[in-house]
Amino acid sequence: MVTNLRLLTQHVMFLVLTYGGRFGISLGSSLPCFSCPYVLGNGGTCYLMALQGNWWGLQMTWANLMSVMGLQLLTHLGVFILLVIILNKYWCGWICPFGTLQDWLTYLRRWWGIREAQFSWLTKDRLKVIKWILLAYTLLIPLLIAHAGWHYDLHLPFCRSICPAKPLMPLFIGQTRHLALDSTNTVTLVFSILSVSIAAGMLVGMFFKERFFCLFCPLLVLIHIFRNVSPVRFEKNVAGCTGCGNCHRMCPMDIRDVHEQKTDKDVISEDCLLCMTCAEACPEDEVLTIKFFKWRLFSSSRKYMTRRFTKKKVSHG
Amino acid sequence: MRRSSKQTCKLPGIGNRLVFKRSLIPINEFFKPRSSFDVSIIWIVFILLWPAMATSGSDLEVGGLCPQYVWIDCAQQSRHKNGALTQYYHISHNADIRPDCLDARDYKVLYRFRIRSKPKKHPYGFDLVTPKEGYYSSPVLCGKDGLYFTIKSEGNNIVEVFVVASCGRKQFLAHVIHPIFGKAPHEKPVQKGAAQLPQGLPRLRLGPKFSVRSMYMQTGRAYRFEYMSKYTTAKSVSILENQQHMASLTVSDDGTFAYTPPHDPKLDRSGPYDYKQTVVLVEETGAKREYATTHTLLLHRSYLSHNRLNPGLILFGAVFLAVSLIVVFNRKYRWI
Repeated sequence: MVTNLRLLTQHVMFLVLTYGGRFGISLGSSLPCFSCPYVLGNGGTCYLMALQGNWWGLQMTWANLMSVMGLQLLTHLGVFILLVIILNKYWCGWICPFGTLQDWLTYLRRWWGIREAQFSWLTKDRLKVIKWILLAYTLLIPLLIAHAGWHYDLHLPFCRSICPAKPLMPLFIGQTRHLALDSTNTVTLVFSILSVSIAAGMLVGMFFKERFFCLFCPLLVLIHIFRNVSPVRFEKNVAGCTGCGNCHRMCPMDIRDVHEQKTDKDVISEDCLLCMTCAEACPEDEVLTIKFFKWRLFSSSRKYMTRRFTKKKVSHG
Repeated sequence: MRRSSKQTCKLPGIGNRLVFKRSLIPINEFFKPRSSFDVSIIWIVFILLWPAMATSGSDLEVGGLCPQYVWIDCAQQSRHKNGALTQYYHISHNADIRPDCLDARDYKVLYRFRIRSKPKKHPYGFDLVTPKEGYYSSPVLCGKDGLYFTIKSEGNNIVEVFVVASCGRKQFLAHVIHPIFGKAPHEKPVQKGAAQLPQGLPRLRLGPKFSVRSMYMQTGRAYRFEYMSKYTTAKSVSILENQQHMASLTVSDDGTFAYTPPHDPKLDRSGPYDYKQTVVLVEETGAKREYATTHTLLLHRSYLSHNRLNPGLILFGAVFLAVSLIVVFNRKYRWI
């Protein structure tokens, strides 16, 4: 049930965020998910672009920052923080359109019967650093443009050179121009070569490894910062856990923290997408619980898990 | 067009206290009979100085000292504390005469906003509004760099500005249209202005199929102009950049002509918001008057002309293939 609800939500949000603008829907430009602003007619855009930009972001000069535009920057940041606090990691697992694209590639791989690529623990730990480096790159370059006189063509550094959503997501509205190389000058050429190359590499990665881009997503880091003030809770009843390891095996992000947690109640980790796959796969009653304030949204149960896997077994013959 | 006759010159520190001593100019000696040589010298000097004497302090059209054309030069912008934006414009003449030769009061500046901000459908789009027929007027001021005027916008608008002036037989109309990005949170709604453009003036406007959304004008893109005039006289079109003649065009019988600004390497190397100003000048003569109509194009570098899709697709395919092969051949686990 949870998986189906998640799939439904993901697809509805994909349609809303990719095509919603054509029907008058606008959810603003402070969304904590990869709803690409380069998709014309979108229904709302990722906050990373606003954060890097010169209207509402870090590229604002001191003079503008001291004017009402500074207040607008704070308003956008405030909306972003509010959205992050309310839904926290649900943005990643349930709403993000780029996450949905990654899930489609995973379904395609599974449909073809190809096994997922595996990373060693060492590799996974090393990869974790990259999202922090990307976040620093995203925040520092706009500041250097605004206050150190760096060339203006370096603006929106993450969107224009790193983010694979920029070349890939506009394909859903039939727009291929973000796959082109921009030979206007050296900076634009280097940025477009990086963008196209990373998009191609990521596409392969996303096919062979579930939610591959989420390993590098700087937005995931920003969302994780507010986990302690969010009403969204993911708790583990440590005493009831038998250590079967289902949660680790089923996790699309290969997170082992839930499985290994023996003392702490809160098990939401940096890479967690709150997809609830682990809670669905947990065979023990009320060991893994997802809460919103005090309300219990979902709890693991033996009955649910047995029914789910029996259904799966029957449907697969 | 004439200089202001009301202006009086007073020498600094002296003013009205300057008094001529009559004894220094003995009238009887000046008017005494002279030789024919002296008379001829006086006549020659008189003839040589006549043009200067005729033009100084009289109407500017005498002696042809009217400017050839007038254009609007978009200058700096100033952001207010509330986020509103004030755009400065200079009124520029061709270099033949001093910029202050025309009195500021003889210029009429009219402007209107073509669209409102507060987009309803898309945060990065505009809501189109039927152009208002009424115009606002803005006073022309005199600054260090010559005549200027300002337009303030609270929100995102496309502003269309006209400068009307006349000088003797010459009639000038300068025009510019460009976006202006105000950011005031509680912008005042754009009301219909009260002023009107003078009737009967030739107008130069971007072609009927021109989209208001394409106001960010770029090099490499063809712009179609429509010259609306009641005269059928020969018209000449010049393209000017920094007052240098760049190209000549001809107006077709239906009053239209097209211009494609060439790519500018200097503009390409600069940032995406930098622009250069190119003036489109149309001159014609009709009903004993000369009309000089200009349109200032604020040209940004082209955003799409430098995009190379095929090399991009080849690169995408090559990287996709290379990474796929690396993944496939380095795979340590079973495939299925």
